[in-house]
Amino acid sequence: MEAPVSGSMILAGVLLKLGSYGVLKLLIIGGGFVVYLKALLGGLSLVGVSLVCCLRIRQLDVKIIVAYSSIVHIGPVLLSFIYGFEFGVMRGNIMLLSHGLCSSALFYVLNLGYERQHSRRLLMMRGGLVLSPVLSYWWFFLCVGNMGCPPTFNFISEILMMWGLFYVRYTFILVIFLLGFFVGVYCVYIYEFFNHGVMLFNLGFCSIRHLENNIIFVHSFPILIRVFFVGECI
Amino acid sequence: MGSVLFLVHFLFMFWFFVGGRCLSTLLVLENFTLGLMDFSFFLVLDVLSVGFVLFIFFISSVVFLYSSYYMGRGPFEVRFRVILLLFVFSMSILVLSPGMLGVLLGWDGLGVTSFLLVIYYMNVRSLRSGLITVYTNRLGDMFLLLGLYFMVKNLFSSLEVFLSGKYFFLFFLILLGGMTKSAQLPFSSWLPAAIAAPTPVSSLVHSSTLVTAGVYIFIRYYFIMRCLMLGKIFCWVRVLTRFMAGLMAYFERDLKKLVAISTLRQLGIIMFICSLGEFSLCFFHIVSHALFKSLLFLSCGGLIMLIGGDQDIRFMGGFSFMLKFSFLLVVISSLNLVGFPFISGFFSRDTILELSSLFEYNLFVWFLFIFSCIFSLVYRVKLLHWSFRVTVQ
Repeated sequence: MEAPVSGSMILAGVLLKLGSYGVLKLLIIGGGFVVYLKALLGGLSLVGVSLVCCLRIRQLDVKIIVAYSSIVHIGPVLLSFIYGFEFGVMRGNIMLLSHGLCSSALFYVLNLGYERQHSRRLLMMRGGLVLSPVLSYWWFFLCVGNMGCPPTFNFISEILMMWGLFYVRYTFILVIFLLGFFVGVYCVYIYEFFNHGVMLFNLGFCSIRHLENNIIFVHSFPILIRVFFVGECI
Repeated sequence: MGSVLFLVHFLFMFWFFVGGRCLSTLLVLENFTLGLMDFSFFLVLDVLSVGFVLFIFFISSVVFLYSSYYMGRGPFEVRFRVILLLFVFSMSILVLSPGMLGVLLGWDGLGVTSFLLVIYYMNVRSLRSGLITVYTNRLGDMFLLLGLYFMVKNLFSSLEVFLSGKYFFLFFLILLGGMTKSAQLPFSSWLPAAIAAPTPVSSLVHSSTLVTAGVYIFIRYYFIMRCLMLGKIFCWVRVLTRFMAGLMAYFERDLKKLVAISTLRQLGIIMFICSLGEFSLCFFHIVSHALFKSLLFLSCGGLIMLIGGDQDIRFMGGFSFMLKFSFLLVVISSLNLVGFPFISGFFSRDTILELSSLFEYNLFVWFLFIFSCIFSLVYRVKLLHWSFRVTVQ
C-alpha cells in the first residue's frame, strides 16, 4: 500500500493473479485433499469479504479503499475456484483478467491526483470536474467498471461470478447481495468525492498530459472491447 | 440531435402503423454460451415494446429541443446532451431487449446515467440527492441482477418446476427490483430527491423513462404477477405509496417537488392496476401519464426559469395575466391529472377506478384508494390556486 505507483499497479495487476494461479495449481495437484478444506476456505473467504466490505466504507485514504476493493474481488474468485469445478475456473479467470486491468488503471488514476495534490486523503480532493474533465471522465469510467456496470468487461465477469456462486449454493445469495451493493456504494463514493462537491485546495491542479492519458487508455481499451470477444478469451 | 430523434420517431411511427398491429419479431444476435448461461442479445419488436419506444422517442425529442433552449450555451452543454442521449439509449435497450443481457444492460445504464444527470449542477444539494438516487438504484440493480437468474438456460425444465422449487424467492427479488425503480413505498425516497436535476431531465425521468422501467418489467414478465398472486399481496404497498404521497403533497411548498410527488401517486395507480393483472390498461395509463406529466414538467420549468429560479409556490402568483400560454398548458395537464372528462387522463383513470372496484380484495385497500383520489383533486386545486391567483405577493 505504501509502495510507489508502479509497485501498486504491478501488485494489483499481476501479483494477486499469481496468488490465485498458485491456488489453482494447488487445487489441481491436491484436489482430493481440498474437498476436506472446502468449507473452511470458503467460509474464511466469505467472512473476510463481508468484513472488508463494511470496513472499507469508513476509510479516508483512497489507496486503501482501492486496495480493499482488490480483496473484495479476489474473495469470490477463490470461492469459485474451490466450489465451481470447471466453470468455476473459467469464471475466476475472467474475473481476474477484468479486475487486473481495472484496478491497475484505478491505482494509476489515483496517483495522478496524488502527484498534483501531495495527499491521498479523500477530504482534500474535491471538485475535480471543473479543473480537469478528461481525468474526471477516466475516473467515472474506471469506477463504473470496477462496480460492474454494462459497457465494460467487468459486467460480464460480475454476473458470471454471481450466478455461478448462486448455482453452487443458493444461500450464498446473502453475501453476494451485500458484496455487490457495497462495491457499488464505494465506487460511487470515491467518484463523487474526487469530482464533485465544494472545491477546497485544488488551486494548483493542472489537467493531465498526453502520456498519462495514453497509459489510462491502454488499460481501459481492453476493458471496453473485450465484451464482444468473451467467447474467445475463455 | 433533436432532429435525429424526430427522424427515428417518425420511422418508428411509420413502421408501427403500416407494418401491422399483431406483428412481433425476434432478432437474435448470438454472442457466446458458457455452460448453462446463454449470453445472446436479442431484440423483441412487438406492439408493447415498439409502442413504448415510440413514446420514449417522442417525449425525448421534445425534451432535447426544450433543453437546447433551457440549458443555454454553456461550456458543458455537449456533456449534458451526451449523458441525456445515453440515458434515452439505455432505456430503449431495456424496452426493446427484454432478455437477460439486454435488461441488465439497460437497467444498470439507467442507474448510472441518472446519477450523472442528477448531479449535473455542481452543488452540495444536488450531490446529496444524486447519492440517494444512485444508492437506492444500486439496491434495485442487485435485486434484479440476482432475480434474473431464473433466465439461465436449461436449468429448469418448465415454469411449474421453477415455481414449486426453492428458487421461488427469485420472483420476489424481481418484484423488489421493479419496486425500487418505480419508487414504491420502502424505496420511494429517491424520487422526490431526484428533482435536483435540471428540469428537462426531471421531465424525462418522471414521465417515460426511469420510473416506468420497473412497471415495464412487470408488464413484460407478466407471469410473475399472474401466476403467484404476489400482486394481490403488494396491493397494500401501492395504495400506501399513493396515500403517503397525497399526504406529502398537502404539506409541500416546492413547485417541482409537488409535481414529483404527483408522479409518485400516479405510479401508485399504475402499479395498483398492474398488480391486479390488467396489463393493457396499465400500459394505457403509462402512456397517457407520460405525455401529460412531461407537459406539466416542461411548463413548470418554463415558469421557474421566467421568475428567476425560485421554486417556492408561496412567492408565486399572477401567472394567469402574465403568462397566458404557460397557464393554459399547466391547467390542461392538471386537468389530465385529476381526470377531467374527455381527456386521455379521464379515459385511463376512470377505467382504472371502475375496474378496481370489480376485483376481490381487502375493503380497506379500496377505501384508501378512493381517499387518495380525493387528495389528488384537493392538492391539484391548491397548486393552481397558489401559483395562478390574482394577488401577487
